[in-house]
Amino acid sequence: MWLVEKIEISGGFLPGLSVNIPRGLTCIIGARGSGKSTLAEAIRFAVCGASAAPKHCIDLIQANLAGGALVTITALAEGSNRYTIKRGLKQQPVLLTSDGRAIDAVDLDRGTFLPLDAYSSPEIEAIADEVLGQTRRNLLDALRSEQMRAIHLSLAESARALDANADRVRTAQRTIQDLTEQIEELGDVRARLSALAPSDREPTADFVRLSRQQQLNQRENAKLDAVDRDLKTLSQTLDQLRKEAQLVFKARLGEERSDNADMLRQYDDLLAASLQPVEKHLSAIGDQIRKAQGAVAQARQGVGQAHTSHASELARLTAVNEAASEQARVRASLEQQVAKLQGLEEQRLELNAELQTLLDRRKSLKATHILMRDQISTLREEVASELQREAGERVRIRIMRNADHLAYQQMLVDALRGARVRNHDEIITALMQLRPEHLAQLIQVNDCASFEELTSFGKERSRRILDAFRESIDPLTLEVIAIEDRIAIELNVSSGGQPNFKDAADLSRGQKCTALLPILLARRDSPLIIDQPEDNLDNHFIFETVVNAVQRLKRRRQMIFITHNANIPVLAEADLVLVMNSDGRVGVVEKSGTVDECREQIIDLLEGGREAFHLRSKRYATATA
Amino acid sequence: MQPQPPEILYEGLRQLAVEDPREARRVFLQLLDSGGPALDQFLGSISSPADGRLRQLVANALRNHRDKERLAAHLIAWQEIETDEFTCRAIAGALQGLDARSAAQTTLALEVARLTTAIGREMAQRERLNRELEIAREVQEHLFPQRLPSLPDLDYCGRCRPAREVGGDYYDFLELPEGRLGIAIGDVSGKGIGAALMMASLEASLRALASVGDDLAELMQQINSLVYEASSANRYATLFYAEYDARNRRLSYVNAGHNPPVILRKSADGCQIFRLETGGPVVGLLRECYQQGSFPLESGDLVVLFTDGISESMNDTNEEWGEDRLIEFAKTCHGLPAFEVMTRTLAAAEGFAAGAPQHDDMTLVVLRVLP
Repeated sequence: MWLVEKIEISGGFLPGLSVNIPRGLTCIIGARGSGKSTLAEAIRFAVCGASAAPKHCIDLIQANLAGGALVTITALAEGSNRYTIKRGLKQQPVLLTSDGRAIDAVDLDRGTFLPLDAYSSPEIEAIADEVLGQTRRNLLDALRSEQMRAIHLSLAESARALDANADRVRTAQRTIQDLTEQIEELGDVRARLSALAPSDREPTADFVRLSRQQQLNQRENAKLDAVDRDLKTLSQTLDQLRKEAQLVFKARLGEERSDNADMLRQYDDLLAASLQPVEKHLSAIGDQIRKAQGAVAQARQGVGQAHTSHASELARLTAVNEAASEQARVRASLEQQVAKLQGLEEQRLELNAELQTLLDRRKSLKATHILMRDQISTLREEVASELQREAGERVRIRIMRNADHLAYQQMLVDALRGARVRNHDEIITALMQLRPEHLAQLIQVNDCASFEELTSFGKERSRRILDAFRESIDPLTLEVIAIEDRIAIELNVSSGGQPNFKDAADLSRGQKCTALLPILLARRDSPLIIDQPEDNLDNHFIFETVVNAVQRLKRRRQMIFITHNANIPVLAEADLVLVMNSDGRVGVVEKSGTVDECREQIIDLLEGGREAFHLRSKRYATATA
Repeated sequence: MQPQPPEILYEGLRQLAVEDPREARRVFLQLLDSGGPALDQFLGSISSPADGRLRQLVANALRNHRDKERLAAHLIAWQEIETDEFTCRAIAGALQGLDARSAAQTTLALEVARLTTAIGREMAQRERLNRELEIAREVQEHLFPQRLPSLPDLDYCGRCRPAREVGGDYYDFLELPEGRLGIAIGDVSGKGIGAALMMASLEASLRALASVGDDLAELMQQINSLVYEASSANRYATLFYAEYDARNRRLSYVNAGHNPPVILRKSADGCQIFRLETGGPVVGLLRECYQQGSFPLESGDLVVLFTDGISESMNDTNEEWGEDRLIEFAKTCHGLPAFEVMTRTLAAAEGFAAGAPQHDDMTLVVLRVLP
């Protein structure tokens, strides 16, 4: 908790302004154009800089601080430390301690040193109106920023792992597909071979053996290539490691001008001394890699000779077969094809096993990823229930998990186009009962029966839809598609009986503010500046929600309200009322003091003048009599 | 499917529902078909916002009329509070398929769902409680002396037979300087983990303080104020602490509200009975002063320390065994080794209860001064 103790402005629209701001609630009132918003925005500008506020606020500041006006804020921070912030347009802010020392290391604009919450009325409305999207989520996430950052880092990491895994899965699947096509092309050569009439005249045994051997030779070559490739990668990694080791061990701990430079130098030497043995080990590894590469080359040479002799032997036998009878030629060719088929089948088997391993690994990667996203929602629920406790019963804040799912829905809509089925809307509605990871799994394993059971589309339709999805949706992308929460901020608009909660977006302008204020008030302990909409707030809710919350929370945080509603200063017992006025050229604080001291002005400005006020009191009196 | 403890099943399904939704569905349908308390408990324990996936599993499982009858009520109850979009849609979809029911039926269903949810929660709670009891029992077992310091002229031993629910009985032997032996027996109010923890702090305080001074009244006062400050208002313990000095066979003691231990002394005309009553009130309840008592033991004396679990052990007509029966029985054991006296007495108390469930821990400590 910290406080804005004082604001001073030199020049601009509010020249010579100097106001001490108390703990608790300060209300700024005044006619349109009297400088209320300028005062509020000047505080935000001085503390948070220009990047923190939306454009219309910055425009206001630029117009009203022009001509070299300087805003000075005195802040009372925890531990009774005082800081002074001075900031003008187009110049770097200055942050000073109470004894006048400048603090350079703190970047005020990051908003972590003296955090301040400020909301202009368009900002409040924007939060109210944005049902889906990041604005409302940010409102909650900022209160758990450390944890959120940690989760997002882990999420990014697990997304990378998922991507890498998906790449490998796709490669394996493509290769399996290729192999399957090749196997398909060969057709049922085994059956054709066994259908051939036996014949003793053909010297087939050698031929068969050699044909098979040739397939094996090809795979031997492929394996040698793979080992070569891996060794090369390993050697590159080693080079990288060597460079990194040099960087690490040659690091200097000491600071040149430091008194401790000498002491630290001996540790530098110790570090540097470690480099040599490390390099020795690394080059020993390099030697081993080169040795292995040599061995592979030798192996290649060795089998190369064997392969050549197999090839020439096979060529000889093929020539023999060519010269032999028709049947022998056919048999020879079939034998060769069977051998190839066998090779392909074995290769496919190996790849399938690899694919299975990849998919198994993916399962746990995926689960970790999704559960991590769930954690974000759980954190938000925590924040929401904290806010709910403070905000009172009129307002309800809930985390609607997975409700910001437009991307997912769009993916389904697009994919459905190719399905040659009717009533897309109805289908999408039914499909949106399935979680992406579930649908992805059905697509991946082509489980039409479960798909039908879960959607009740009927057999024919289910088949068509699933086929279309298999065609155009990548299940690996689908299963981890990001779906966000919707933050429901609702106001109970019923005046008794059954509650009737309406989302902030569907409320009137005044009600929007009423729904959001308790939540903005409850968010944290730092000073809060609220510029209320000019609209009349709905008096019916004001007392129950806003006034109550202000009264309760003003002990916890400093609040500065620009208000047009007399209930707030009067009923929430403002500690200071600032009455602003302007002659059109400059604005001034015409009067400042307690509610009692500013009674005249409050009645004048907020109650529509004395006469209207009396009239109203009379009516109330007759109504209650 | 292997029958699994519900909590493991629940955790497993949570993970499975993300990893392998098809398999999760298969496992849940099996659970649904086997029905019974495991299903009710599962349905009762998945109401947290984070469990949307599991509730969706239920919503997607309505295959036939029987499923609907069993699950619809839960779905209706969840629908009101569901915050997960997919689950919301799945529940709405599932309920839409049901016949339009009258308002009365809906209300009834709702009531049933609330009740079953409550029962499920209660069962989950009880499961936790059982584990708590295990912990409490473990704590208690570690508190009983693991080793008996040997003394030349004293034959002694002790045993606690815990009740099914862990009570708060406690006994301890402390090896003190100059051939002295500390003997403690006590009973902490309440049961379960709270009692076990208080017992632990009692033991720790006693062990820390006993080796320091030799004024037992002062010692008990310190223990009292430690326990008084450390424990909640309504928790207290009875504690009897004595020190036996082998050099003069004197037993110094303070009795803080515990059932007075009994000394049996064989004499020419029968058996004399003494009770060790000097002390003060129970510890932990009031700030009090204590008085120290002293009793010169003679060779052949039998000292029996016990908790109310022994004296109040009941038979199935709710009749108590009582202190008198205990003393009468102990008289018959004169001359036997302490261990023998202890086992026989415990057996007698149990024999009296004759199979009626044991309500409280039963603790017995027997000392015999050797001739």
